[in-house]
Amino acid sequence: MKKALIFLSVFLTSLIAFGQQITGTVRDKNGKQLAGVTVRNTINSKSTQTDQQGNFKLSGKVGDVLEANSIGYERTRVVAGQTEKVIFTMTETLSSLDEAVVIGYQTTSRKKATAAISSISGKELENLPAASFDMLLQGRLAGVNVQNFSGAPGASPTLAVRGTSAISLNYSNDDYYNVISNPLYVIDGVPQPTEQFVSPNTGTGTNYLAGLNPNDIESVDVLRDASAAAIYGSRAANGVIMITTKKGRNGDPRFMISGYSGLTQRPQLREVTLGRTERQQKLEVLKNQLTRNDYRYLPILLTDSLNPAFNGNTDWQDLFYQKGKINSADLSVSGGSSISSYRFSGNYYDEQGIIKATGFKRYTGRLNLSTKAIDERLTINPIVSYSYNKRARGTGSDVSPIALSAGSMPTSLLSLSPAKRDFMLGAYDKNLDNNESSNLNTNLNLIFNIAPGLTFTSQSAYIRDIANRLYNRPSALMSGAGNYSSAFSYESNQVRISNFLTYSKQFGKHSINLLAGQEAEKNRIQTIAAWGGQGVSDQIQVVTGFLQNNIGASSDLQKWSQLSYLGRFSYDFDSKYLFSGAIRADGSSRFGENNKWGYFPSASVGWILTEESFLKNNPHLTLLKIRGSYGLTGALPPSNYLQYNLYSVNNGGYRGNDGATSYNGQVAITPNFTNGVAQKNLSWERNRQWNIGVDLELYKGRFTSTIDLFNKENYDGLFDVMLPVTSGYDYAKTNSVGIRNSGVDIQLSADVLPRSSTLKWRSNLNLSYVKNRIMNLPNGGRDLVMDGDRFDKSHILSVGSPINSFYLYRTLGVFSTLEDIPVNPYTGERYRNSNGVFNPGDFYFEDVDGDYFIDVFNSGLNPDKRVLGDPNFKWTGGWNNVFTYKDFSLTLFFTYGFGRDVLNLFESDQFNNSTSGDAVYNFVYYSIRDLDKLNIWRKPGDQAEYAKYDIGTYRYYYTSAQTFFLESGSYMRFKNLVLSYSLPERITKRWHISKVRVFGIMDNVARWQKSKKLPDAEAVNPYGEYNGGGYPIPRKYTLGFELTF
Amino acid sequence: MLKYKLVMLLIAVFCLGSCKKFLVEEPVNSTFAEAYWKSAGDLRSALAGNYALVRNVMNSGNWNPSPRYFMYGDAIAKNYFTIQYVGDGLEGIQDGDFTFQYNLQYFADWTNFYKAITMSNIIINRTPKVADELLTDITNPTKFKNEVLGEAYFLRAFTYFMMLRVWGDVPLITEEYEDPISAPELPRSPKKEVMAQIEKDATTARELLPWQYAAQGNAKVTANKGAVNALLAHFYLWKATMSDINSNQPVAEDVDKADKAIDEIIGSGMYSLTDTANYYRTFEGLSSEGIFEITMNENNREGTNQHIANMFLRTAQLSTVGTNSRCYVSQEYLSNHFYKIEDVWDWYWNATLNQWEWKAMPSRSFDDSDIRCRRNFTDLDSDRPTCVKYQKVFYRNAAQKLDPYISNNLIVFRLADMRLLKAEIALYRNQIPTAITIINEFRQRNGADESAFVDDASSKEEVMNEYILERGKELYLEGQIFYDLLRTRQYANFVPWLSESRFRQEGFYWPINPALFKNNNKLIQTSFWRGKV
Repeated sequence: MKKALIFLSVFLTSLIAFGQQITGTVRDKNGKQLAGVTVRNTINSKSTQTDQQGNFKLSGKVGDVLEANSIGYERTRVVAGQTEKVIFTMTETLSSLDEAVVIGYQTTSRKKATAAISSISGKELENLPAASFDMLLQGRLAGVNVQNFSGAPGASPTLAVRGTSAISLNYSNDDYYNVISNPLYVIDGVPQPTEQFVSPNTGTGTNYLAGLNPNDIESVDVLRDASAAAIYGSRAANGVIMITTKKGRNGDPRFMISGYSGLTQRPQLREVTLGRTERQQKLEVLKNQLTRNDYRYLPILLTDSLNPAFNGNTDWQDLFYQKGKINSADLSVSGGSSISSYRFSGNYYDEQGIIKATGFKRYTGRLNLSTKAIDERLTINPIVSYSYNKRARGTGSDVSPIALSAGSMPTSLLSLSPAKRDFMLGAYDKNLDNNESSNLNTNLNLIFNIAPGLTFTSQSAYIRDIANRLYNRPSALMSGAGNYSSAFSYESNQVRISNFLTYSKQFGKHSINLLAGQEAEKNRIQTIAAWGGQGVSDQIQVVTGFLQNNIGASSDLQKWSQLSYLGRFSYDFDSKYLFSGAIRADGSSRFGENNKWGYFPSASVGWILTEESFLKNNPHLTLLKIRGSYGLTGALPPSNYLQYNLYSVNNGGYRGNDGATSYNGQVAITPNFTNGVAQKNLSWERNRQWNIGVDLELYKGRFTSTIDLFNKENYDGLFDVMLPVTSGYDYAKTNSVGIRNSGVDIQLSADVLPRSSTLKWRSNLNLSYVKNRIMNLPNGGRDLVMDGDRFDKSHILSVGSPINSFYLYRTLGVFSTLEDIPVNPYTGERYRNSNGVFNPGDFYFEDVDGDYFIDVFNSGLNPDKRVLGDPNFKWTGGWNNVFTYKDFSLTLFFTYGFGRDVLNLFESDQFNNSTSGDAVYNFVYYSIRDLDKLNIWRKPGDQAEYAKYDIGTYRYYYTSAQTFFLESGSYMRFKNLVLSYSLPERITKRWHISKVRVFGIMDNVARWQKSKKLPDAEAVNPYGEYNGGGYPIPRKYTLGFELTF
Repeated sequence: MLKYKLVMLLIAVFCLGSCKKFLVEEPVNSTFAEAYWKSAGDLRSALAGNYALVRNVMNSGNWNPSPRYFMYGDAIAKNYFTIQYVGDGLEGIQDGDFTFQYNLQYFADWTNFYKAITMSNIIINRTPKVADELLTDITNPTKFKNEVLGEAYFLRAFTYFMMLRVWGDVPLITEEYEDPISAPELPRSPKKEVMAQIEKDATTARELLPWQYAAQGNAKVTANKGAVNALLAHFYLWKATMSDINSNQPVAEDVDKADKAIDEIIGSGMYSLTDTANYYRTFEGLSSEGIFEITMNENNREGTNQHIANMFLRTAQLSTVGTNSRCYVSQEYLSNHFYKIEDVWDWYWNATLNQWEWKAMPSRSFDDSDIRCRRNFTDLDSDRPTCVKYQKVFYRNAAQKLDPYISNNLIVFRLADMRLLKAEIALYRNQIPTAITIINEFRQRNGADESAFVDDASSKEEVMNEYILERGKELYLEGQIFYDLLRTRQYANFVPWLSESRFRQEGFYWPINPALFKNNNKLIQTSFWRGKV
């Protein structure tokens, strides 16, 4: 390393700086000086930005061609003449063709891009009330499906680029975030280690990306197709999200202060019956279904209406909700000269949840410095950012943030005594729960112009991510068994360096661009956890003072590293025919000797028809481009040491004592018989994808559209394959699954009203369609019913069906009378299941195998269930409208998702009392919905929608795995309403302020959905299940201001 | 310009040179195959792992306390105790129906067995390959390795033996797979081959293992020559009687081998019966009569909260449970097993005189003088007596008597069992007086009323019945009774669902979980259960 440094310094100092200066100024058509315009000398590739007065200085000589470029203006070229000053006059444009898009290690203009990239400017995300920017991306980018399934502050949404390829044999009960495959996030060129090696319930469970202040974002570019993403090779199979943060600007210091403050409001609670109504309804049901004798022995909870303890009117849900506040403040300073620039920003964000004791707080700081040295040939650009988050989690996880699960809210008849209320809410007030994480991100970018067109870039980064949780529950909340404390700490460190050379050159009509680079990174993850139980004093809130036998601890240390080589070649002829090819080779420590390296090539071509003579300078059609691409990308397995047959240490556990570590005091060690087979031959999960796209622009950007058709095939997907029982091992990961996502992404934007109008209306619409299919499964493509699901197994993996498809009985109706029930013509036996014959009032399930017998065997393939229903959205998108009139602007933003099925487990649970050991008591004890409003079967002859209320029948007719509970998950949400007003310039000038803007935002304004039964069709877990738990999506109202001076 | 190129080249070379090492990350959060098997401690821990896996086999069941060792061995003979309904379907096995969903899923499944067997295979494969030089802290590496191997062979034989008695034919795997991912699909081997394998492994273990334990702390809870002999005694008796279930004539040669194994145990002088004053100690474990036990000692934090005792104990013994327990002892069992014969004055019908007569006549009545009745059972006057044979409760939260763990070892083989088997052997050899002597010794020793002693004039069939009663008293809830009933063909009087015809169809074997067929096309269902599961 030392040697390299010496060489580097020699190499830097040996450069001789020398050249002439060109000065100039940039103005618009009205003569107004333009600040922040990039001026580049196309001959020697040097560039600078104009200062506040629109002036610039740049090295070069007479005859050099200078190019000025700024978003919103047409790119302008001027030849440096003999005159002292070069004057640019820039014309405004609405075309985005010259906008730079980030393509990984490089940028290119939108016009010349041959890949499918969707972009959004940070402006659109500013000041919207959300903790993390990924939540805000919902509906804004074609091909990106974001679902904010949890409304918890600081929670992670699911974000999928062009469908999901995450597939697992096991249903995950807590880690919903990883049910959908996640893209790679790259912030300022640095891939972020967003993988967590602990489950959300072990760690802090906080969204890693919530540490990034949305107001620091300059732009977000999503690399959707393989040609764009392949440059990130092994981690790009699920798309790449490139985030560019704001940089310093030339000129005098500019302060920007903005802030907003508002309220969060809980949505409507679920409907329950209260008090007298509940008592009456329950008695009626029981009267119909119990024998006279049983009816005499009803619990007094129901019968003793005079007892003050049992004549309550309590809506238990209400206990846990509150009105929340939301506050955010931002400060940024930026400025600089032609040599150096800086930007510092700080942010404070505080959102109180709508559920008690939940919330999210963030402090961030970010510094971006840039300076030029060695005759402006070397740019030194350090970026440092730090964030601290604290997230209060209530009593549970995001899956169930309140103490009472949705299906087991007690009856309203129970009066809530103050003591009981204290106990219920004690979990919120008395628990210690310090759940905090912090993130330090330091980058150093060195960019050196070796020769005209030839640039060497070195990016080094160090990322440290720390998460801590201190937790304590007092004895009273542990059933009096003594208090419980736990401490958890997680730390991940990443060091990476990336060096690359770029070369661009134009020969006549040919222009080429070359990139070659090398990258290395090392990651280290460590966790420490300790816990103690049965403590003696509530005063002790940390893990100390517990009996030695009641203390546990663990720590972990894992490492992984990656080495990569990458290259890209782009060529265009006359800006008409475009070609780009890229390749990346990745070597990872996660694979064994045989398969350490993976190679990920891609190629793309484009043809700009409007540059052809027959279309050139057409006043209507300003751009028509056809693109096509094909490439390979990969994905890493989520475990670090699959190549080793890791042993299970302290494996003395057995049924009855899972925690035993030894046999007769001798530590027990065995191979990991669950899934520990050494995987020397495991290889990269690969993804091949083609994409065909058309870009269209009419009237210089007044109307634009981008349409992309794609087919993405994930093959060699890693999957747990069950091994024969005699092998002693349960599962092994193999490259054995294929998944196809195919579809179309459409993006349309328009200035609906003529440009001359004072009222402007900019409208952006995007729509994505994804068809998700499992192409092949191991063991000859046999269907696999997912493990770990609830009792009524309702998900299946089946070739030809989407991932996580529902596996259900088809409900044909309710048997009205005895005559309606089919009879087996061969035996004369009534239609039945293994627990007896069906009766009037039961649901009628389709008899798929025609044996007049409904199989209730739950853990495996069932001859009477079918693959029915798709929990993945087929259509998603958003529609944004910005109206501006003079100094006012109004934004209306809608998001939507269509074509998804949702299984309403919450509803099924309210009726499913069939297997309860004490069905009558449970029916009496738990809250019910208003049965009078339902068409429920009560007596023979009723043509009912709902079957007879199920009390201990063991007939499973209210099983949740039936199509009766399958609903449409389609919805459209009026997501944001933003009204803002900027003070006219004449007033601000008087105050020596450059800009004052005030705004009001309403978030989650309204929702339209197909299902009448789901409270919120978006607040549904990624498996497409609504179970009544989860965190409702709140409505937020905020008022804010923005000051720049 | 040349300089820059040179620098670039050097950077590139620098990176390439280190890349091979750069991409190697060895785990430090666990050990792994290549790093293990390098010391005596490694071998000991691997062996402990094997015992722990066997312990898991014997104690696993469904999600309620239901250790399979007892479910196979005791629970299916309904006359001994009653399993109450709680929804898991366990009580179904008492009626001979093994097809309930959860019984198939948990008790008809081999997964845990083959994990234990795989561990034995790994130890047997790898131990000889550990170089003696690595065993620095061992004075005699050959002896040490022999003992490790001997225990692994024993555990493999023992695990297969447990499977043999439950399923008959099971797949045999005796090698460590190089690559388990490409493990072959194995069919079920005929029970004859399984028996041959058990015999081979057990005799190998008998060669390799000494009588004396290297470490006294390992006594009884790990295998020695005594444990192997006890296994062989049971194995040979099973082989003698169950190889051909259509014959009621045991194979004499195997009976002799069983006898020899028991004689070796008795002759070793290592074991003696527990003093009846300390009767209960036998079942806590490590008593003088223990030959092989599975440790579940809470002193090492190895107790369990799903012990067989958890199916019986009530508030009086275990403060965290209610007064109703999952299982209760059947009254018939108590009155059938613990009785005395005394004169009872009553009205009797005299047929010759054609009138009622008031007189004393010998009659059976319940008698709790036998220590095995007094010590093992309580709540005798209720209709649901409790078995308190295992009741060493340890509260992890001692102050509040919460979080209880049962700390009784699982008793696999003990001297009393061996001695009683001698009576069975004697009966097979038609040495009826010897059998009577052995049985009566047991009754006398445990304090039974003399009137309950076996009459010297009893027929072979009567003595066999008395023998089974004696096993039922001595080995109540020790995972043995069902196999005793099968060997001696006495099931008809004790297992209502097992008719002779079902016995001949091997209907006492368990079916196998249909889920196992998923990854193995060569498996077939147990013959009796074909078409029923």
